[in-house]
Amino acid sequence: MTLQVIGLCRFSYPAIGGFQVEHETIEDRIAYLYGTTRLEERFRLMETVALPCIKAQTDENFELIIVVGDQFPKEHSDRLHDITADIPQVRIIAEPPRPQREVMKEIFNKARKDPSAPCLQFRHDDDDAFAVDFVERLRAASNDARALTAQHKAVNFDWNKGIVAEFGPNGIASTDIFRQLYPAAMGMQIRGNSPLTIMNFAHEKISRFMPVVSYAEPQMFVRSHNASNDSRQKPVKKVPVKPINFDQAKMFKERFAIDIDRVSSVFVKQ
Amino acid sequence: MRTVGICRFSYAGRGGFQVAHDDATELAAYLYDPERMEERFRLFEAITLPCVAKQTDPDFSFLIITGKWFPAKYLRRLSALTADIPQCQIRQYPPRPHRMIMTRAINHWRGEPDEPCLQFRLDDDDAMALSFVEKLKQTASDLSGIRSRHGSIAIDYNQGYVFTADVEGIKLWPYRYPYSAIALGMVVEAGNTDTVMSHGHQNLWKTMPTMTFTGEDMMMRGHNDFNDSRLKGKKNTFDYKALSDVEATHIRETFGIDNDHVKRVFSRL
Repeated sequence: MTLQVIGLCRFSYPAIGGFQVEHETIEDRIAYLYGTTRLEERFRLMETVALPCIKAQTDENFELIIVVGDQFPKEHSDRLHDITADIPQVRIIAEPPRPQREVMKEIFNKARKDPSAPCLQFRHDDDDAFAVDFVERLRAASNDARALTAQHKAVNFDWNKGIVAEFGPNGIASTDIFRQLYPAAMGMQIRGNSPLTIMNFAHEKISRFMPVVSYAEPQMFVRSHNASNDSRQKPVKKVPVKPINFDQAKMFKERFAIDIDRVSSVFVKQ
Repeated sequence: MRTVGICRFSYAGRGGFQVAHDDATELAAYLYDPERMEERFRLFEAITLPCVAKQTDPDFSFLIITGKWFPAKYLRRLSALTADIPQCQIRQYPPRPHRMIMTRAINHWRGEPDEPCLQFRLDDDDAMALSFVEKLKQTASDLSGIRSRHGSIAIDYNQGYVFTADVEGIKLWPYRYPYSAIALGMVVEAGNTDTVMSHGHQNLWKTMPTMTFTGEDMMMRGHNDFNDSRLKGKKNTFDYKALSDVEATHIRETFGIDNDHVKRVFSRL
């Protein structure tokens, strides 16, 4: 049986709640999210970091739903459609502002072709990347864990080894990290007829609710640190990064389909 | 599958304790201090050994590692406490780097690594659920697909309690904690001589696939006056609560720990 694999990516969706930066009103939030400088950075990261790995997946049998607000200005909406036009797995959905988890859960459950069959779900942040073999590995991990998924409503699969990187006109600077239960390169198998979704759980608390299979190898995710990281708007510990060398550039390209030349040229544009 | 548990009982190694001691004599004086030994023995008797003796799957070995110069009176007491528990085997080693000795003890038990085996660790003031060995074996069987691709897999249960024990019995605080040294197992495949003691338990997830289970009480972690990991000044404080009758029954049925027995052991003069 081939499991349905569904990914979900919020692209500056003005949820009610669900961001770590708080705003007084939804209008304030929309003004913040759609601010020109912020949105330009989000688009550049989406184009050079988050999308190439989708297009390059070795297992093409999955769907990535990108959620935007229903008042997303047309010029931006057109731009998003343009940069995803050649990725058949992408489907863009526009939703009015609603509570974040409620909308995301609903979208996952609507996307299930056969709700009585189990499925695999993952989240994708619009400035992160996962390895080009993630979907393939997720399926293999699920297959290897059949005895577990038969016993539990949900089982989580987590890859711990990744990279923190900064992207800009000078290319890429990075450092290696190990992190458990980070949303990138993590997938969850949900049993048939269960309405649970990966969005029912705060990612770092998942091991309180279900069995977790974790893998230490190989390098599976890139988390970008940038000016508009939602979770880094409050004072947080700085992660020191170093400009990548030739071998690392090759690895970024092979593992994550991230092209350093493309990064430099996209980020230099005014 | 052959299964072994390993437990240090006041083994005077080098390293492996979080409280630094300058030399072996000083460490031995600390470890074998009569007041400390009395507390360790009482915890071992009332908390740790019952859960070893009453495992629902009795087919395993339990290695208790202590020092070559462990005082004779304590060795006699340890032997007497474990005499009726066929899984227990006391092993004495000279003071050497602790990981090296623990690895050696496990692999000596194992012999030629021609078959896969299951290993787990338990500290001498902690307890694991009575179903632990049974669940560990079942999980190893459930994970056959992953096992075929990896030389070792850690199997971890993250739910249980921290507790204190004294003349008033047990006091509990529920907690969840991944990769603690309690109820932590590892499947080691044929041909691999890695052991559950070759890694810091907190870092296992960086070196091999891990399987973490939740939702069931599987571990009891002792917090007491001589807890090695708590002597560095940064003590967590928990709001420990005395056991209700229902909890006392749950603890007895889950871990084999009888609260009245705990009170009796700690009331001895």
